[in-house]
Amino acid sequence: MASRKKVLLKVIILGDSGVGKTSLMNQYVNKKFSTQYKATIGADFLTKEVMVDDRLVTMQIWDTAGQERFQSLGVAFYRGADCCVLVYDVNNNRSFETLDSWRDEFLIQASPRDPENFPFVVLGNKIDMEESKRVVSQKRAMTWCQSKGNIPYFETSAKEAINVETAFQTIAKNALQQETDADFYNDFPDPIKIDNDTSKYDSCGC
Amino acid sequence: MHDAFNVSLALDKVPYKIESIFAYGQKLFTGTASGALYIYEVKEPLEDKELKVDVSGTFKNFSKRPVEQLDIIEKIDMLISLSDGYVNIYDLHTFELQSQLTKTRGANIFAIDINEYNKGMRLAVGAKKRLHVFTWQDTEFIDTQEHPVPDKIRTMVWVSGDKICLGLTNEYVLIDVNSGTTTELFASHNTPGGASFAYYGMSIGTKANKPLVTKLPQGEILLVKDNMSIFAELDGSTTQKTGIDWSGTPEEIGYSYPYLIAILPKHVEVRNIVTQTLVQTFDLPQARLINQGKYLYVASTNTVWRFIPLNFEKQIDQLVEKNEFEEALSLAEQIDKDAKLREIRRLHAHYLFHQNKFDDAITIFQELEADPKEVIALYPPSISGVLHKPVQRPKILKPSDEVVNDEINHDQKEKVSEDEIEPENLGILEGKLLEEAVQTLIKFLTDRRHKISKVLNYHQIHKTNDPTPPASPSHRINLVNGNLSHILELAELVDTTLLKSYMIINDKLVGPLLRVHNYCNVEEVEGLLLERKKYKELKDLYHGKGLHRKSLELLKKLGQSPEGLMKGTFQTVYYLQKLGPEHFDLILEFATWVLQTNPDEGMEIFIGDDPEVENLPRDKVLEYLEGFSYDLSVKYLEHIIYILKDPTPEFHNKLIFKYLGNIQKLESQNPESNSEEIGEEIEDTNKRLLKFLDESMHYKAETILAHLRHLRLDDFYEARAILLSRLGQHDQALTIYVHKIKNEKLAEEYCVKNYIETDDPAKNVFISLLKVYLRPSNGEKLMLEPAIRLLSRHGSYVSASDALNMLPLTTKVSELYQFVEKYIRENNKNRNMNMIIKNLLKADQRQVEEQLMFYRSRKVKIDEDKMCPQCTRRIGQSVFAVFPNGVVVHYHCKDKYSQSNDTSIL
Repeated sequence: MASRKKVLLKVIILGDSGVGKTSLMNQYVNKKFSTQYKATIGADFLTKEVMVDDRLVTMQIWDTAGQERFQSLGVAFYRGADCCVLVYDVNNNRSFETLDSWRDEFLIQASPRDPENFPFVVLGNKIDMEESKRVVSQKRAMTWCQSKGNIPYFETSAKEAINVETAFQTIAKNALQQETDADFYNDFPDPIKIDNDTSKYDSCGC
Repeated sequence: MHDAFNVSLALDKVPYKIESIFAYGQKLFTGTASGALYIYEVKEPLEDKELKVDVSGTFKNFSKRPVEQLDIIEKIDMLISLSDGYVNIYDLHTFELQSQLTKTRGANIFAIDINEYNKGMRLAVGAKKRLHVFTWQDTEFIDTQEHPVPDKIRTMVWVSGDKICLGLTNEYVLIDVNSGTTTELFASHNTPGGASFAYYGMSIGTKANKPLVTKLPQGEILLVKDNMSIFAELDGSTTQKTGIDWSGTPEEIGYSYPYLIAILPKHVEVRNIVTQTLVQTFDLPQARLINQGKYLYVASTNTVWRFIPLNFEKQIDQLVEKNEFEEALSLAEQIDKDAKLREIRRLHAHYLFHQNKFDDAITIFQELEADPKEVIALYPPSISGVLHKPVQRPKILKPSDEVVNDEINHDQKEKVSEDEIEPENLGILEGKLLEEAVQTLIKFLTDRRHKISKVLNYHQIHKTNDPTPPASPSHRINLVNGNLSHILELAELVDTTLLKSYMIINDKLVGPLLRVHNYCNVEEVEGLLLERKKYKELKDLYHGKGLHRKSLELLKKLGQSPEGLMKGTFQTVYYLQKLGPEHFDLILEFATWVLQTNPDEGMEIFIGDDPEVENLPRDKVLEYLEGFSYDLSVKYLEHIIYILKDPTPEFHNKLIFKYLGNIQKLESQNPESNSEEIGEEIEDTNKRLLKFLDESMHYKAETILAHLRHLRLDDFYEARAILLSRLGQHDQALTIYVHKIKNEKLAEEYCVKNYIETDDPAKNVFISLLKVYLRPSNGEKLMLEPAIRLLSRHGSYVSASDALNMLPLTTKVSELYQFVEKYIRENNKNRNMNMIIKNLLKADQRQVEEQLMFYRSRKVKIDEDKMCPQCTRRIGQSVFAVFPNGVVVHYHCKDKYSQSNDTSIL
């Protein structure tokens, strides 16, 4: 297992305008938060190296503009994504309702081989706001995630850095899983495994 | 290889020796070894007909010696010839000698330069080892420059501006005619970075090799050495291009757009200048002269051949027919015919597709923005439907079809199929191959879809529904300018086909496509989905198209069927929850079967956690549910009141009526049957009723009371007590507790709950209760004991005098002991507490007074004599500052003073 190739995971963040996609990415990668709102134009990415199950992988996190759904970015952009992060604002009902179409549009654009098992992660952001402002209950969000094939769900706050690290760790993990699965589909012939029984290697006394 | 030129004999075996040729327009000039000049009129044939050549003039005594070179300057009507070592200038019409450049005696070559910008004309003449340059001024050529050159000039070409490229015996040299500076081309010693002949593995020097220089239109010159032609920039530097490797040593090279023609020892070769591919060869014995350019002629000593270029489109068609697409593209690119170019690329894409290179083909289609119809038609009928065409090579269009547009294309295809051209079996797509092909189609269609949605979005924003001007006559489907109906048609085709493609290789994507905004053709997709029993997707289709009734009917049918994934009420419930108030009637219509089948699940239609559900008109929902059952309507009312906090009094009243009605109904039932169960239910409802009466602040107590009066009077005492208390009628409420319910404890609790501190005995509920006990009306008994118990427990709320006034005179003092004791204790307690408070407040006051005195003591007095210790001037009216120690200075002096003095408090 020594010569495993370097893994680059392409993660795409989608969701309505103003739900905090850029802030989540910034909080995760730069540990910074700004209260000023600046609309994202087109798409932008940051990279971060993370350890996933003892593997060092590079996550390329693509932040997108929520303003115009799938208008400015071409089909090619979505191809080869390893994980899609759907973000909504728990204090904004509309942003939750549009998750369905974000997901469906993504599937169409990316046309993954196995759409039902493509890794999505849903983030309900801005939980730092007062409870009275909240309109999407955790139960409702989780019901939706369940109905879409048990999508992992996290309630986050980019502002207070709540759950951001955990969420992205899951994203990385699921993306890596997808990447590995995608490899499996590749046209390359299956490599012959010579170190099939890794446990033996591990227990080797040297 | 294809035909770039048709070669016709122009002059066949003339009885003289041709020494030089020149052609312009329809005229062909030949100079002979005997010094004669022949002029011919050449009539270009129209279509594949013989060339017609007539002699139009003969000048036997044109010159005494062989005519070595001929040229024309049309602008000044001059014919220039080289003969007998002199350059002679003739009138172009009369062929009379105008002048002879005597200065260049021994000339062996000349070259004309016509400046495009200032129309200046220059004539360069090579004589022995010198280069002379003449400039046309007014009516004659004036000798302007003269430069020595290292060797005899064997060939020369004006290349750019003032530079001439000279071919000498042993080398090529670039010379600047103004300065005379020369640059050796490919000289290894002085042009760093420049390639040398050595680099090309060649050496110069064999006399048999004639140096040849050809100027190319792309701003390059072509130099020949041995079998090679090497490209060079106009400044002499080499380009990265590889040279042309001729199959022999060229004797003469000419350029005729876009081909190079070289006379080689054995034959004449034609090559594409860009791809360098050999295009054509001709066997022309002893060819030795070329007149390059548009009027391309090749001559031997007694024969002249005319090279007539073939129509480019014909040439390209030839290439396409041979599947030589790259060559065709190169040619098309050079002649810059956009439509033609597109057409070839299109055919190329078709070709690649039939070669199973789907990805490459689709990439080209995508770049061409090809009509999706055309691409889709390549696929089997399961995808292409009626668009499907039997697999065949698309016919090449006739060159006359200048504009290649859809219609022609279409017509032709139809014509082809009518003609029953046997469908070439270029492989039927199936299995893995089909999968691969469909995969690329999905890619193409998704891309198209994306672009179309962009355009439609644009239309939506700008409302450009009006017919737009006809699109440019290009093959491209001009999406932005296309009219809306056309685009919608296209969108439908793309989406429907995309769906069919998904069905073949990835049917899990059908759902997503139908759920997002799409233009799928409903009838077609409906059929497909029904065929495959994809009901879930069918529901999505209907939903997306707003066909909710169809959708719900489908769900009902599936839900009521005994098996299948969609059985049961869940799907309908979920669907109805999302519909919202605008489809209210539909919701009610389809909620009915659900509520009949599974009321609990069905209720979710009206109480689910969705904004659409919350926004349904509640009064109408209630009305509808009332038609079903008490349970459902109560459940709904409880939901909107408790969960949604609906404050509408009608709903609150209604809920109370429901409870009351239910209790009444249950009580009126035969008490024998299930009495225990019914009793429990009555109790439960009663509990809920009382709780609600107690908690809700929105019902109208009068209405309820009036309603109760209609019912049997002796029922619902507790409810009535609560209602009365809500109206502030505590006396009546307490009377009910005491006399009807006969519950002393409840009456007391009521008092504790409703007590408001007051001095007015009329508003004191405890007094009211005492009254109920001690001043009975309606013949009730006086109840002394409960009154005394009340006093002993809550006596402090009642003033002793009020209480004693009410007690009957016969009351024993001992019975009042507890009350009085408690009262006195309470009073004492209050007194002591008040004393403490009073003293504390007093202490507080002292402290404040002390502080006031302290601040007062710190006053300063500013009068006429008050001086500032810092500047020793009077303070007067100016702003001043006081230090803690009482020193007064001018405000602007305070910093200085505080720096030099201790100003802290004394």
